Amino acid sequence: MKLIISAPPHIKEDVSIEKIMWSMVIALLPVTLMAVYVFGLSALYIVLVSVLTAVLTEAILQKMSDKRITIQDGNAVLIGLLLALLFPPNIPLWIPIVGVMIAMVFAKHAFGGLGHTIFNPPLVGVAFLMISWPSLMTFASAPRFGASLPYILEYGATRLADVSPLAMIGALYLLYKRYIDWRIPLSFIVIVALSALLLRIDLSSIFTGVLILGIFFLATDHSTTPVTKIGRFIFGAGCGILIIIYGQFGTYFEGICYSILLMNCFTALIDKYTAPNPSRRYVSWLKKS
Amino acid sequence: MKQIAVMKVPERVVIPVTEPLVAIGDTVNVGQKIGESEHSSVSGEVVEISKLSNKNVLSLVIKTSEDLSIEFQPKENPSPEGIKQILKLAGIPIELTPSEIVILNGTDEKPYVTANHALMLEYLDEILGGLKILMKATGASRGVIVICDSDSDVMGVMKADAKENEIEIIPSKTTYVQCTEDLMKNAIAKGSKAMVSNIGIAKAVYDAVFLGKPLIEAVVTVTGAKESQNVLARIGAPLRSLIETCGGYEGEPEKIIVNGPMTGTAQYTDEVPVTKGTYGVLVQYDGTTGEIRPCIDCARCVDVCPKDLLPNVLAISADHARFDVCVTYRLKDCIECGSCAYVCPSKIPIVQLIKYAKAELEKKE
Repeated sequence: MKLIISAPPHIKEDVSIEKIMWSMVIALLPVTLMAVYVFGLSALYIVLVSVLTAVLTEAILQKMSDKRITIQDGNAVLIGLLLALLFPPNIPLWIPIVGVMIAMVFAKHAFGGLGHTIFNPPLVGVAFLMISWPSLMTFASAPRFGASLPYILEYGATRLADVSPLAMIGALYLLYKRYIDWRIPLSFIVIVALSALLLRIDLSSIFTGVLILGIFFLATDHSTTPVTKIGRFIFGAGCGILIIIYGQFGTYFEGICYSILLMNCFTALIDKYTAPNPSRRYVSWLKKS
Repeated sequence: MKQIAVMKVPERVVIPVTEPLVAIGDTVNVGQKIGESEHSSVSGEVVEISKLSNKNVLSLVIKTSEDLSIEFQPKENPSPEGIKQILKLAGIPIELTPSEIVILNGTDEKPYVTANHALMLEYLDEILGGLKILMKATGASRGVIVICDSDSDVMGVMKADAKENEIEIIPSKTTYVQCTEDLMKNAIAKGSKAMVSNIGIAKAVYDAVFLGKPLIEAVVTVTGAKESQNVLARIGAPLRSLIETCGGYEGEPEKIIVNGPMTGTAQYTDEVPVTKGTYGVLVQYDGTTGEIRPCIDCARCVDVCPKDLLPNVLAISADHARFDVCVTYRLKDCIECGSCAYVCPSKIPIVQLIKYAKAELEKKE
């Protein structure tokens, strides 16, 4: 009888990087389908081109640097899909190719690949495109036929993710399975809602599909956010404040993009100053029992 | 329903002994003293005294014949000092410290271990009696038994008897790290002196004081064999005989783990004997744990750590041999409960890395 000797624990939770990444992709599928329904084939092409470019770029980069090819873990697909959802529907198809390549090469693999990224890869891609070709990245809403259902089906949408904020309900499942953290979205939403109330901003102009995407899928990206519990609250709150500031002086879309990127800069600092303090090490646990 | 199956007497037992009192060829009986604090769990002939698996400790190998027992002689109404003496003679691994509260840990690592649950259903009076004795010996005024809130059957049986004996029952959430001794001490004693022991020990204490019987048996939960059940095992019996009592293996085993899946030790053979601290045996038929991927800072480990540590930082620092960083992030507070490695989606052996860092730091001191 041959027995395996290994260190404890001898059981592991049924969770893996593959599971987390593919679950996030699946959670984004409804909104992608809605976008295709509203914008037609052009949206489908954008999604396909983005995802394919992401997967190919990753495979080529890893082949070139003699690393194991990890396209099956779903991270490349997720980055491609997230980027696609941030595009307006009428862009030339070379735009997603450039954006995704910037995201994969400079934001993900230049820093060491999965787990080592400092800036959120999809947002780096979008930021690059917005600075380089600002006119192509905006979309004047075309009049469309059919009545809009607020938050469910918005014909006035200017970006793929905007078509249906409610279609991203899959994020709740991700929260329930703890695949994404709940602290960042909570403080993020609370801060945005509070500021909107204080500044008398129309909530429906803020809570667009892109913001929901930002809150649940971009701001919760694991590697680029703090690990401490308090740190994650601070991160979400910081994003919320920055979005409102951006929105007051620019557009909310820029706000979502740059606020998360700016807070990514502070991740290491937040982690350092919110590391758990020995003097209250038992407190949090004992309160629960 | 009978909670605990009694195993048939194994052909031979292996008992680690610090200083053997018997020689090769001697016949020993059940309960006979064979070492400083060790007693024979079977009757038979001593066939070997050698350093077997453990290089530092001598082991006695006893080949069993018919089951003869020495006569156990209980002492009448012993004093606290007397109790300490009896427990020492009976070879019960317990340290009696003067305290105000005696806490019995009745929680289990569910669903893999249910030994405490079975003991409480089967030996209720003995456990309450044992707790009374421990309270007398330590001068404690409060006796507490902590039970998982999912064990409502035990709670129902115990409530009336415990009230009669003025013993408190505290239900605890059925989670894993609940079972840790110092967390329990902090949660219940809140600063006053407390002693934590477990259900098995309480039963052994009762047996030693009221029956004069030394510690020669342990209740072990066997999981992963054909019939998973609790078995009353003789100390020194090989794990193989325990698994045979439960109907044998279900296939080709890949891992045999002693004492719970979270902190237990994987064994290299099923000839390893049951010791006084054994409470669970787990057989796994698939020993693979998944491919190790890079840490993605998902912070799931941070969320589950009962000590409020940052396991991701500790693991990476240990991996990079930055032990100074480990010290800053309170490496020594880690209780190695394994929760972090359990939830890790990248399957990083966090506990192993932390143990490695601890060992390296110890070397330097």
